[in-house]
Amino acid sequence: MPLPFIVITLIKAIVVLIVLMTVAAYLVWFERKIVARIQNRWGPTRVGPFGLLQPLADAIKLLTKEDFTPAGVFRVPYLLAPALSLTVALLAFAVIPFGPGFQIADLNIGLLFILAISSMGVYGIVLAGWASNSKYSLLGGLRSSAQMISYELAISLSVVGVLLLGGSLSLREIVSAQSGVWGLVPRWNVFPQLVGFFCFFIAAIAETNRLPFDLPEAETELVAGYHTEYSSMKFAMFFIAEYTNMVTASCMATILFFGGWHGPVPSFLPAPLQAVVPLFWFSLKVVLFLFVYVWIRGTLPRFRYDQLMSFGWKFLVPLALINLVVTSFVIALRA
Amino acid sequence: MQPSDAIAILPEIILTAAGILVMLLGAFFEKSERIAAGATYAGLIAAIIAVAVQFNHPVAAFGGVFLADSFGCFFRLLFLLIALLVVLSSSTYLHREGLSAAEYYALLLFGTVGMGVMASANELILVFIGLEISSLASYVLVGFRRDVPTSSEASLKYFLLGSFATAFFLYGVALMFGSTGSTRLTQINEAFNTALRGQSAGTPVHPAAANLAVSTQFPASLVGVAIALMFVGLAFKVSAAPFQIWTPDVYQGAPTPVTAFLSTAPKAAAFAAFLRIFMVGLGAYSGRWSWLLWIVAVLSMFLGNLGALLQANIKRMLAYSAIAHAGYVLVAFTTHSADGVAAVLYYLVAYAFMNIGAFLVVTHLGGRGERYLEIEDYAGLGFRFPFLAGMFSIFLLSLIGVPLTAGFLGKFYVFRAAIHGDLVWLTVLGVLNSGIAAYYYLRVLVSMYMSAPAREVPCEPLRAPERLALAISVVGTLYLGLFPQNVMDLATQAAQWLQQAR
Amino acid sequence: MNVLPGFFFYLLSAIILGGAILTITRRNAVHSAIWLIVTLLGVAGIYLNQHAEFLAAVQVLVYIGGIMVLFLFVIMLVNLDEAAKQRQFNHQWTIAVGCALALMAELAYFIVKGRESFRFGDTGTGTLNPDAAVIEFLKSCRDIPGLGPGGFLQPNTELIACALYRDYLLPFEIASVLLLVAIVGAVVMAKKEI
Repeated sequence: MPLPFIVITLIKAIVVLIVLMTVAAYLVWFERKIVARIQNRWGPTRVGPFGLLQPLADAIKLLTKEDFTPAGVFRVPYLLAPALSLTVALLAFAVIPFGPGFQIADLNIGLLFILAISSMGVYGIVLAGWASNSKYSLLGGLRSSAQMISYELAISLSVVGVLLLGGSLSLREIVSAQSGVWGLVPRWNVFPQLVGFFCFFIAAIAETNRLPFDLPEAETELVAGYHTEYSSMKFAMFFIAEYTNMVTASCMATILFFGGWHGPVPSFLPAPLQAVVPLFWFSLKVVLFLFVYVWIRGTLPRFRYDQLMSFGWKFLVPLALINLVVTSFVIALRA
Repeated sequence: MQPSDAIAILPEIILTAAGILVMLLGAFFEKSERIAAGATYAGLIAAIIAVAVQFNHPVAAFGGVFLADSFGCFFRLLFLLIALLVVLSSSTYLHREGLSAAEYYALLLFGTVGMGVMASANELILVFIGLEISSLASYVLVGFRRDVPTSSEASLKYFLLGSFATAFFLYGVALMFGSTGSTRLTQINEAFNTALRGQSAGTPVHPAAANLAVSTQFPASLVGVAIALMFVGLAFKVSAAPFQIWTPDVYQGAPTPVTAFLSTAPKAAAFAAFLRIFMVGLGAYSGRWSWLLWIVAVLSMFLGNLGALLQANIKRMLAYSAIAHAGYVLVAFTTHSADGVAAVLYYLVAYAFMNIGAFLVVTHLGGRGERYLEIEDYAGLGFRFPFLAGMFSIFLLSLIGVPLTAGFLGKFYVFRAAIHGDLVWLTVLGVLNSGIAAYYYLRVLVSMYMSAPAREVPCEPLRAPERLALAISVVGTLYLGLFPQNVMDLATQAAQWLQQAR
Repeated sequence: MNVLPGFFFYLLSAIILGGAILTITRRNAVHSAIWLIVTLLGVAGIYLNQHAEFLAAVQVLVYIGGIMVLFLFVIMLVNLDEAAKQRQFNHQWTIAVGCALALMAELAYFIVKGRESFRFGDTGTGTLNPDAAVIEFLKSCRDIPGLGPGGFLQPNTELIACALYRDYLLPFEIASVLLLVAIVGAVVMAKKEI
């Protein structure tokens, strides 16, 4: 492994990390603003113009709060859980291609990597729930593990259709396979895989523990669920992990179903700008998905636990399976 | 997958479909017992027809992974027959004990699928999966009387020890792959033959493994460990001593029809896999494993028979006798000749008829909740229920090996093969054991006809399915004792086929 | 640089073995489960070290992300405080350890004696040395319908696919019966009312 390679990768990783942290922070502002608008309010307005400095204020608040460890917790797992949550959430970005060449590592099993990493995300929550040694936390952790297992199945099954179309597990190649157009319509996977996309997106919302599937932290029943006993920076880590996961899910939806960085590149632009345009398209799509996330949160009520389970097992998984069977039949017949 | 592949596993497909159907029927019908039994019979009979058609058309399916040859078909036919007899003898029992019939039949069918796969597999991984299917089904069937502690205990014991044994088998498979670069029996044999002949391995055993199988000289010690580990796993499944410790407890705790099933079908399946692996795959190394078989055979016979002498419970006694009978079969196996294999096959068929018949009588006399299982409960049976006692006597005499019964000819073929294989001492010990065995079977006979009943043992009249099963068992036992030729021809054919495959 | 794979191998082996020992000796079931997860992660690492990326990812996805989560779920759901107070080992444990050590020594002796057969080419370079037969094999796999137009997964994934769907098709399919039996069995044994 040559040294320049390591250095370049390191720089890439740091850049991605910084961008990601900013995005996660401003996602909070974005969410508060939009939810406020949906509810006919103003949202944060006091800190900076349009409340733009609100995330900074939040960060200072979280950092300076008292870091409190309750008595009776299982110390090591209690401290480990938030770190695990955040690490796993950030790891996924190692393989996400933001544009042609804008990728930390192009793994040939990128898709599997993301699935594997996100399946480990649950441990942060489960361990937090258990290690807090409190009833609410434990219930949150339990719910989360059951929910993750159920919806992970749907996610994996819905993604296989894309895999069959792209013929590769590498995310870069999946995006490349979506270049070009069918007549007027871009060759995005969402058109042949509409059902797959539907399953994927719903399951992704559940996987990220967002409303209407945020049962692990349902505040009406469980105080704050798995992070009831966490404060200050440890709580912030869970918080950031959750928002990072949202970004990951949006990136995955973009890459797998909406053609990734593909979009019209105006030819009148100078060459260096042309290279950046794909990044713009990618970000636009991701922001769109993030908006949908917030929009859903602002409009839908929370599911009940049994509804969540029966929806996952009795509707989403069979639907994804049928989609998979039909897709493979069509591909086999056309080959 | 080609159409011929599907035809080769048609019996297994039918059985799986029947199993699923039975479960669905059980879910959707209020009184599902009869319907489920009907579907089970239909599935079994269809599968029997499918196997019978295949018998004279051997095919290698799935690129040689699955061999529907006469050896495999012989065993599959045997399993189906056993399953049929067990289903016939279970329906009354299930009703009496209030057990759910649909799942019971489904598990029985799935177990039969696993055994069929084991018997026809030319691939160690497939053997393993078949073994696991049949074992899992057995574990659950053993614990089927869920509210009876002994049943659950038996199930747990069987499960823990059985998983351990299959782990041994799997480790053996892994080491075998490590030393030969293949898990396919015929290719392992090829590799051994090439290595033993001292030639270079010209043709790679498997394209993907071409660069893995490097050495032409197989390190004998590693192959030895692989053989030993696989031996442990299979010996456990046939309940050969020193791996017999689970047998009495499990046989006693299991529902009696399940005990009948366990002592015949999975055991026969394990022997089928045993024969195929050791005769076909490891035939070239017979010098290394035949003495192992010798010791295990002697140990099984002695431990089984001496243990049975001490038992007061009829199911435990039959369990120990099952260990001993595994020993007799191993005697024939030790010869590793076509004669010996034919004797094994014949013995397993004979044992199936007489043992299922005996357990059928035990099931019936056990009564509700299996209360009457002590040998003293059989006192005076000959006077009170002459018909049942007569039947039971025939089965016990056959188990002893009295002439005119299946047991006699089974033992005869076994010992003849042993003599032909120059295993004189083994034969002597085997015959000696038959003498010991006679004692505890005769004790039951004596008690039935020569002593007064110790306590009142109620007995309901036999129902139609039980009568049919009993009739088939008796006819089978006597037929095999009087006219062995047909079955022996089939067994010889299967054995020769196995010999050729090397 | 050839030292690194060997170094990682021993490191991972140490993690696996240490995790396994801790798994069986911890009193608290949750701790055991966590150590089991560490062990499984180590196994995934070994796969990665052998350049079997697909296997590594699947190991994480299935065992760590699926099975162990269910394990933890059950352990947390069932109150195991009572179990933690029970005696963990019975008085036969010395004999058991003796037997296990004897077996281990025996196996180790024979495996060391037979190590000749483990010469799987140079593991240091990692990639499968695609000799003619393997390339031919891969080419023959390519025309399976449904592999996609690009069709070139990396050899590792492709080899696994070929092994599963071609050479070992029957074992692969029959395994579904195994799972079905296991499900039926679990329901029969565990459900209150069948």
